[in-house]
Amino acid sequence: MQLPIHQEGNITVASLTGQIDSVSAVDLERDIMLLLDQNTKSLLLDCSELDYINSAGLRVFLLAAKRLEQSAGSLAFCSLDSNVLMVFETIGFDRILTIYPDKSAALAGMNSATAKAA
Amino acid sequence: MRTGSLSTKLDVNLYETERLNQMVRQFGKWHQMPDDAVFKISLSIDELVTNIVMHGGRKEPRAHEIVLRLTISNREVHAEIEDDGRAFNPLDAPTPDISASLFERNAGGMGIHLARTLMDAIHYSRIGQRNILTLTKRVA
Repeated sequence: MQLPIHQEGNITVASLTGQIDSVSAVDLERDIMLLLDQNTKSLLLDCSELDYINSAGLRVFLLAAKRLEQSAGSLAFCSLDSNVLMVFETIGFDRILTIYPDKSAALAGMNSATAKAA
Repeated sequence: MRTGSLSTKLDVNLYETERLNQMVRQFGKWHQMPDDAVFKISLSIDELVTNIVMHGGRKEPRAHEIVLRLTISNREVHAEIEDDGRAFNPLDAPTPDISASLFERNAGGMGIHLARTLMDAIHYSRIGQRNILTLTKRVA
């Protein structure tokens, strides 16, 4: 597991750093799928240190989002820089994925969504 | 922006695309291209080159080399991506339905859609035994 992760209550926070391209997306997919295999239900991808992403990385996000939707879990993103947000908007991910401006808003939003579902 | 050009040959593998990304970004910064334009151009080139590696490198006749020529002049960026694989026009790929729900979305065609949306123009031509993609982007 190369992906730095930590727990915030019931939410697993994974920090994405640097560039996600066609090579690094392979490792990212393995690490995220491993988290889901370990029954992670609430996953927050912190993008504050992410400065590049291509479609190989977007594909991983889509797979993870679909898998968590099927298992009634939740996936959210926070702290996207302007370029990464532009990519999300261009591809329509801002409509199908949950994006928060920062980590505290994400944790609050994900916790209240879990409380409503319970 | 500073005027200049770059021309380089790549092997057909994904590790080369990773190195190419770094080079395109450095080239853009050196030529005083605005950050958002650097991002859009390097992403578009990345998507199209990755596509050649994934598709053009797999079926006979395979691509053995990719040539990138990048020019910045008069507030316009011009990129030419040439490969020697079988005839393959990535612009024929179906456009992803970006209004579909999460359940209906699939990952196909996203790279080409990004490149098409972020560039002002992309053209494909087959000249002899080579595929040539030309990208243009005006930079304000």
